[in-house]
Parts: sequence; structure tokens; C-alpha cells
Amino acid sequence: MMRRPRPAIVVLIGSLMLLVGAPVAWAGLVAVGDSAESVESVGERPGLAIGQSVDAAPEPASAAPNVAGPDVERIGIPVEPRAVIAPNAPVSVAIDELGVRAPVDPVGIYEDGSVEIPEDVSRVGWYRFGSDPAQGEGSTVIVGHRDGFDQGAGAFYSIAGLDMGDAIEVELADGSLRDYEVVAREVVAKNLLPTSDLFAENGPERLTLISCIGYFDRDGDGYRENVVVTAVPLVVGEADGEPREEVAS
Amino acid sequence: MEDFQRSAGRSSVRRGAVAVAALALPLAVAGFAAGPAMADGHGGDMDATVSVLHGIPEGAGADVVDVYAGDAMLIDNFTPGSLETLVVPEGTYDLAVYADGEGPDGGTAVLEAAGVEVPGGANATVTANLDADGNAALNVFVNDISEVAAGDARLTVRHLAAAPAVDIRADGAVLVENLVNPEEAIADVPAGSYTADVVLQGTDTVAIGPADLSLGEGTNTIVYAWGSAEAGNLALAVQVIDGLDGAPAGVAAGGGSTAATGQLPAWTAGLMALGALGAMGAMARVARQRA
Repeated sequence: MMRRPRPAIVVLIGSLMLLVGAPVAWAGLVAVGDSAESVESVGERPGLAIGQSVDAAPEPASAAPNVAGPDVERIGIPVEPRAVIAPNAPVSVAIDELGVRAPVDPVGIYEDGSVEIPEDVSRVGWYRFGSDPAQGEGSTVIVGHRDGFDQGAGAFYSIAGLDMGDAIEVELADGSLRDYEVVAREVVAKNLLPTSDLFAENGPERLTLISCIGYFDRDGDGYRENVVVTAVPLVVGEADGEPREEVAS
Repeated sequence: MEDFQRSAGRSSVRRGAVAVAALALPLAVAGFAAGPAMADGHGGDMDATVSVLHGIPEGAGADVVDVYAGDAMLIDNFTPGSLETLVVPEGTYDLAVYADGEGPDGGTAVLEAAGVEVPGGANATVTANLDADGNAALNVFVNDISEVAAGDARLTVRHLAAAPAVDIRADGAVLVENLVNPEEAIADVPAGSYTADVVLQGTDTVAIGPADLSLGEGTNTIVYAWGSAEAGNLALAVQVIDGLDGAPAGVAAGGGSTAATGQLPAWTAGLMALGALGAMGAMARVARQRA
């Protein structure tokens, strides 16, 4: 008896597509991550002026020794404790160019001294021992897994595709938004990652996104390279969009 | 709250002998000195960062004092429990503590230490405190401002009280055993908040605390136990030097490649299984229809 043969065939074709297509899709994802040769470094991270040392603290005011009372010579210049600016932590990062919007968790350090990274690859981490957008200087670092074996592509899977001028928007804990534009994209061997620069808490204010890329060494330490995207705060008037929100600092 | 016991195995406690006043401060600066207000250090014209702690409790004859270096006043109206930090030119100093309002011109020093050498680039703390027998003394400590590993804080503990040997505990676990006046102990530990107390050595008898101790990442947090057990005014004073943190070792943001092993990840395997089941069922149905 003829009982709707077509749907069965449709189901058959669909099932075969799943059976064949799933591993093909998986292989496709893999292929993109296999080689870093196609990702060239562009742009330049904002650095310090030549001759300026990151660790040089400002000189104490070299005023004449203050006089306590009549005819009393003073020695020594009092040092006031540095004013602490409370952090304004990133809570969300959006990269329109990649269609990415990911929640940001504060992260610290693993036992081996490397940066802690959220295990859920759809989430990214703000290095809480570094700078943040409230400080007005230094690098705000956000890290994310490229992918997860059982999770597929992570939020930062495609950041190597960012180019100069691409926009990144960060929402902060107090609800305010900060806009940045990409000025550099680099791929470096993991053991050559310039951590002192990338995690500096002083120097020009910048946003640094870090993930992994390149050849995946399954018998060793995983991905061999880091991809680093550096962005600087967008100044009002430079964007062809709305002016940046005024944020009380 | 950090699990201090987990970290106890990887932090090692270093003991220090105090550099008694009148001995030279060793030049213990290697590389960058990341204390506050370090001058540029070119040539021989360098400053040093010197903190002074008034650790003599009230009623011991030094309630409000003025501190002099030679004929120049260093600190005015210095009260017990206070700590002040100054940048001074490198040099050799005759330190003297006078009752408030008195000075080298006609006054009698309550405490003094002549010939204290302060090298450029040094970061040191001079303390006026009671020794183990309750007599006033001046001590000089060099502060460790070498780099602190990312994620860690440095804890320095100094016994400056007229009290017997003590143990220092953090979250109930003994961190430093048998510390006597005027010794110090130093440990790099994971940054975080700890509940600290000071107990008589080998006992659970709390001499000071408990106190909430916040050890900021990249700081050298220096805790002084001072006062007099007999007078019942033992207390803790805290000095914080920040900016010592190093960068992390790296970023291992691989997670696990989707190409990690020859095995299929669960999502791929799952979809294939669904496909296989669907195909089998559909083929069976098609076969029946053809029959």
C-alpha cells in the first residue's frame, strides 16, 4: 500500500547528510585553525616613547624642604600613598565585525603562572590583576579560548580576522560603554609572547585581546601560537558613528 | 577567600635578621626598584625611600616625638602606631628621637643611632620599638621590593613587641613559627584575604588578632607586631608597598582544538549517530514500501 514514500526518502537523505556532513563540518572548523601562515601581523601596538621607562616613577616634588616651624630645617620629602582608583571591570565585549558578543568574567592566575581562562569557551576573561578602563592607563587584557574540544568554536575563535580600524565595544560593571578601534593584530609563538608589554599597567590606555592559534600540538601544549589584537580608545569625532558616551572617570 | 593551606607547600618562608641601627644598610636593590618615588638613578645622585614606624606604645616615655637626621627634622609630631614614608638623599645619617618640641639644639635624645648608611635606591623601614625586655630600641629593616610573581602577594612579618616568641597564623594555619623580637619572616603567597592572628609560640593562645588581612596582588604587605604584652597593648601595624607584580607567564588559550585527537568530539559524534539512526529507520521504511 502506498503510504507517503516521499517523507521517508526525505528523512533518509536528511539523515545521510547528517551522517556525512557533521564530520565534514568538524573538519572544516579544524582546517581554519590548522595553519597560522595565512595570518600576517598588521599594525603596531601603542608603545612608550623612546627612552621612556615603564618602571620610572614620577620624581617626588623637588620643592624646598618644608619648614615645620620657625628656624627648623627639614629633610626628606613625604611620599603620599598612591591614590587607588577602584576598577571598573569589563562585563561584556562586542565585536560587530565578527558577530561576537561575549560575557566577561574576572580571572586570575593558574598555578603555572599563566592567565586563567573561562572553561566555557563562549565566555571570556578580564585579567583582574592588570589594568581596567577606569585607570586611564595601561592594558586591559581580555583572554578567551579559541575553542573547546567538546564545545566547538569559542567567542574568540575568529579574532585573527580583525583588521585595522575594526570596532570593539566593551560594557563595564557600572553600565557604561567604552569603544575601541583595532590598531594591531599579531601572531606570535606562545613562548615569545611579550607579556611585560601586553600586561603593562601603565603606558598608553589600550585593550588587548588574546587567544591561541596555529598548529595544534595534540601531544604537547596545544596551540603553538598566540593571536593578539590591540585596540585603542576611540576618540569622539574620529568615528563616523555616535560620539562616545561621556564617562565619569 | 584564598585557601592558604593549599598554597603553604609552594610558598617558602624566608627568615631575616634585622640590620640593627648603626650598621650599613646592605644595597639590596637588583634591577628595578618598584617602590614609590624612586629617582632615575643615573650617576651617584640617587634617593632612597625610608619609612619610619613609631612602634613604642603610649606610656613608655615616647608618646609624641620628633625624629631628626642630624640637625634636620625628618618627622614632626610622631605618635605611637604611625608610619611615615619619605624620600631622602642617599647618605649617612645620625638618627635621633626627641620628645615633641625638643631637638638636637639643647634636647636629650630618647633614642639614637649614629652612622646609619642609606644607599641610593634602597627601600628601608626604620622602627622605634620596644625590645623583648621592654626597653626602647631603634631597628632598621631592608624591604624586599623585588618582583612578585603574577597573582601573588608578599607578606613580611616583623616582631617588634615586648613579648615572647610567637607563631603567625593565616586562616588558622601556622605560617611562621617561633618568631622573636626583632626578627622578620617573608613569604610570597597567593594574593587574597586572610584571617591572621599571632599566638604565643607553640600554643593556641592568641596574643594579637584575629584581624582581616588583605594581601593585594603585587604588594609587599608588611605587618608589624608591636606594643607590650605586660601593658596589654599589643597591636598590629601595616605598611604596604605596591607595584611589585610581574606579568603572567603566558596565555594558553587553546582549550582543546576541535582537531585535538583522532576521536570525534561529542557534538559531531552525536549528530552522526542521529543521522545513522534516521538513515536506518528511513531505509527500512523505504524498503517496506517497495516490497
